[in-house]
Amino acid sequence: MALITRSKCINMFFMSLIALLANNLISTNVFAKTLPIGITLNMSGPNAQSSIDFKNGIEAFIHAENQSKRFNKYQIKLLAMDDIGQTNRALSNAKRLITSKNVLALLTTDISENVADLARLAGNNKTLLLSANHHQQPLNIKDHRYIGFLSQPYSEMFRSLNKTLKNSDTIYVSADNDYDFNAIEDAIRSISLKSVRKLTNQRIRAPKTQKNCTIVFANNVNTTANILAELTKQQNQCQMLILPVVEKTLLQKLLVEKYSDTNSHNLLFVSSVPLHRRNLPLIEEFIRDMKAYSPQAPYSHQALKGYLLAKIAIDSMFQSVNKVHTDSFIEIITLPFQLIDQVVGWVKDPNSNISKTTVVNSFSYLKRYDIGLDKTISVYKDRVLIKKTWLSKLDQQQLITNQIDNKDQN
Amino acid sequence: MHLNLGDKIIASGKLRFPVLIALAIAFSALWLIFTFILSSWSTKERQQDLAELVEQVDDQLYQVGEDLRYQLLSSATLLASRNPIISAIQSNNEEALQDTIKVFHRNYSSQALIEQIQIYSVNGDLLANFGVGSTYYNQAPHHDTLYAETDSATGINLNLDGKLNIYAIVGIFYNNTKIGYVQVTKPLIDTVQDVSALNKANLYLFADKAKISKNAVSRHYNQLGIINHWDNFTNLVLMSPIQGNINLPMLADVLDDVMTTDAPDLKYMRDQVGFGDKIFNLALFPVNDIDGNYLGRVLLLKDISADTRSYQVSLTVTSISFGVIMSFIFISFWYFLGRIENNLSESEVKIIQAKIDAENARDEAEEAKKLAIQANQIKSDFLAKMSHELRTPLNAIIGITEMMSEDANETNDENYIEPLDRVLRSSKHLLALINDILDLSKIEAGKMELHPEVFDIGYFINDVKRSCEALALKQDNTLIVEIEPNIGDLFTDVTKLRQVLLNLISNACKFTENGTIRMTLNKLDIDSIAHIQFAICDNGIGMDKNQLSKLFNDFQQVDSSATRRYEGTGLGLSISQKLANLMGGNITVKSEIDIGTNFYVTIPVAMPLTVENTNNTLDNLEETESQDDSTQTDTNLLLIIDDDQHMIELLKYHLQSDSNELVPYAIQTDIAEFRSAKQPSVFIINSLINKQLAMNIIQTLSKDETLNNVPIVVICEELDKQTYLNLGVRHCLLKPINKSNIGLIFSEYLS
Repeated sequence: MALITRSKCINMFFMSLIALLANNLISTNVFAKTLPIGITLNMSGPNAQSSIDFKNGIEAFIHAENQSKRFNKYQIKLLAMDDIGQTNRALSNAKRLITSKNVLALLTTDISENVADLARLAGNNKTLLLSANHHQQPLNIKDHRYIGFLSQPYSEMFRSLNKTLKNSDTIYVSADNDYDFNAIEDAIRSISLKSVRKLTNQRIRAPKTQKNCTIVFANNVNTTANILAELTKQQNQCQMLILPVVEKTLLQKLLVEKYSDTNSHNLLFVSSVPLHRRNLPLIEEFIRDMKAYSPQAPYSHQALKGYLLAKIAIDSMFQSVNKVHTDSFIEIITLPFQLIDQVVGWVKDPNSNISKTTVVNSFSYLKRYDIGLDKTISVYKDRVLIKKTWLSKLDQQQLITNQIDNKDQN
Repeated sequence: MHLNLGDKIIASGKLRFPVLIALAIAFSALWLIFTFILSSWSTKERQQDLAELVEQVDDQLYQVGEDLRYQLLSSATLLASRNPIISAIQSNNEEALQDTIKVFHRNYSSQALIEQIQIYSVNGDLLANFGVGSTYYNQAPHHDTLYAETDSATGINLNLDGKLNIYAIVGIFYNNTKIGYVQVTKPLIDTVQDVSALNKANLYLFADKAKISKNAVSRHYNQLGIINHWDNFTNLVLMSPIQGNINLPMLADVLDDVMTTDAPDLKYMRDQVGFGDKIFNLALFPVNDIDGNYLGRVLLLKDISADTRSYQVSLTVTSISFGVIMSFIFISFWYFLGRIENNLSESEVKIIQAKIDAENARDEAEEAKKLAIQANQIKSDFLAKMSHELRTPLNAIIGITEMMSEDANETNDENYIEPLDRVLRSSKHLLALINDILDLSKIEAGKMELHPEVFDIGYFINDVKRSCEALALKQDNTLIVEIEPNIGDLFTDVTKLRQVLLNLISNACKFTENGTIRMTLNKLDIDSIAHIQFAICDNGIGMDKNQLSKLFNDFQQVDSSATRRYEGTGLGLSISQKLANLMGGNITVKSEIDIGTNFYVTIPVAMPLTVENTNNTLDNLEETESQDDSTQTDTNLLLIIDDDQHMIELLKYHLQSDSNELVPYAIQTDIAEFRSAKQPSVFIINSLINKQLAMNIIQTLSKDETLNNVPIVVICEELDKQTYLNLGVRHCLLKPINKSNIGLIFSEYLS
């Protein structure tokens, strides 16, 4: 009897010790694996707010995903780098994220010609690059394989806006740079022979009574708000078309706080994401996750874009690592080596055993993917994820839901 | 074995020591686990802190480096657009060029933190060079191809002298024609030191030995007036000043220890590395150029001596607290276990005392049993030996009484007939009682001998039936015998079997009135051995279960009233059962009150032989029979050799008839006197007077040629029977000697 008790005690002691050791090992960073995704955006200066919203959207989805433990012990981690609005800096950041930080996917809101460089960088390193906006110029076919665009190019977008623009004799375009202006001009000319002009300061300051005109805005939100205020002051009668690149939620806030909305009936908002349709599953999830992540964070269009891109990137990653549970066996086998590594001190990137190429392939094979919109989405050769735009108006300082939805162009 | 309390010593601490040792082991294990958890937790915390610090420093180095890179780019762009520089290059006026960049350096270096400005021709020739390190930065950087392809570039490079620099290079244009390059440079070490200060950690910059020139490095160090670190490290060269309490040999020792691999993409992290009396967290991570090419490493040392000391203090305090608590528990256990032990000792004393008492009682019981067995043996021996003494006078009483009774009957003297019959009945009852007791005692003493022989069952049963018919008629019972056809012979002791059957039949007759006693014989196999079953069934008074359970006990009748009503010693069934057992058989009984009783005697067809009963085997028996045939004579001369006048008279009485002539001789008579003209038919020798003389006579007779074929019958004790038979005696006549048994024996020898 005494022997049995003694042996039981010894067994229990060793079992406890082993359990303790195992628990300790598992809880240390031997097994602490992260799946990093990267983003480089402008988080400094007056135009930082929309980037911060975009980042919040991504963080909200990652937070929900990590809570759900869909990736078992893997934790998704967002590595965000500030490019202070400099395209070169954005490129350096992207390079660091891809080469040094080994991100599995890179997200961007960049609308400039820099996207081509980013695409090339992603292509060279076989990393998935998801952009909230479309690049307006054709990309190298090889690089094209690694990129995905959330919204349509201007050419497609303006094709769906043909009806809206048909009564306008002259179309003015306000853009921050020539690259965007040229792209918008090309897009408008491809659907009609309307007169397209750049919106200059002279034009803004000179009051006009011309009614059959449209002003297209593709600036940052502050510039757009300032120009709109000036035009309102001048009692401009033109139709105002705000393109998706302008953060509408912030603009709307600026308009409500600082300017008269007497001319708000002229304002038309073009959206690449349907934030105003609160009954869609995607939007419900977005609001729920945003609340869980940060109750103070606004439910902006940029945040929704970030949320959507994160969802697509992470679902692509899940397709790649959905067999992570089998890693447990491998980890047990390789545990002694990991321990030796840890004891010796050399550490590798924790996510080094996940293939970036597999993530890209998983993204490329997304078909009939239910993202929570009206219809499923698929990734085709054009790499455009949402081939649809929504047109809305301000009413009682709120975007009218689904009033002038464009037809689905799929 | 007698036990004493002194044999069991209750050791003090018998319970306390094992429990406390187990407790001590458990506490030690707990303490180990506790320390292990604490240590693991602390290590984990330190490792996480270190990993976060490394990540942070890496990011900061990148961010600061990037900021610097764009500042340098702005400065270089500004410089490239300056007319004095363009003019000086066009006029190939190197002096003017040098003055211009000197002025520029003075005006802008403080803002842009530029250390060096260099102007190159389109072909990469150095045209002007100014800066703090201008005297030794006289060698073109080895990124010549960059000039031809790019208008501007920024990045990190490694000079041949081992300096890691951040640089910006911009093309100088005149009328859209590239006429040269301007390069502004700042060593990375400044950036590293900024970050070092920001994080309160020592950062050291190392250059990759494989990518730089030893001579250039030596020149660089000589010009700085510091020691060349080329040989101190295996793969790297230290390009930073030594900071704090760290000295070069310490650094070299640790780095040589950890630099077991040179894989550029690996980071190295280790917590709690000792440097003299200080403890550091150590990390080593690579520095790459903008294309990801490995250039060197940054060593991070974070002094955690204070944290470690406070951790050690807290660990010590915790351990002491733990020890104090454990000691308190230990002492408590010591005290309480001692009390429990005392209580247990008292209980144990009681238990051991009880055990000793029980063992002593058992020993006494065994002694008593031995004595009882011994006494029983003595009793049996006594009874067996007393048989002669008891039966001799009884024989005389019975014999004389019979004689007197017959005389009284002949003379019809009625005054004596009835008293003499009463004396005779009482004597016979007494004799039967003595015989039964003696039989039982012989059986118990193991001295009952069997003499198996082959006999015909049918004949035997008819004989038994004849013997019992008168008894059956006594109470108006009918005796029926049923025998299975061809039942064959039986090899067993016929006398004992007869005794058993007579006993059972007499019992049946005794307890049945106006009924039927049925004896049935069947063959049956028990364990593949052939048996004969004698079933004696009556329809008498029967017995209940309680009576049946006591049936085969000694001196036991169904009840005391029965003893009075039905005569008997109460030994018959007990003797019968024992005899049946001796013969290898058994007696069973079934009975119901007022319905009747069935006794079943089961006897093996061939009795198993033992050493004691092998003398009278089948062969011997046959031989005996043949001798019987040969010794049969026509004369009836009986020679009685006896000194006991009572016995001679008794024999004469029972044997004397017209055909018999009895000649008595004293036992001391010479053998020659036995020889007479007439050959005697039988010698009758009483061995009870003098056993040795009797034996001498028997031996003499056996050797005598004329007398050795005369059968000898010896009156002897049961004990000596076999001895006499071995000497060639035909028959042993046992007491009591009465008319029936004498007649039965001598009928074989007399004509």
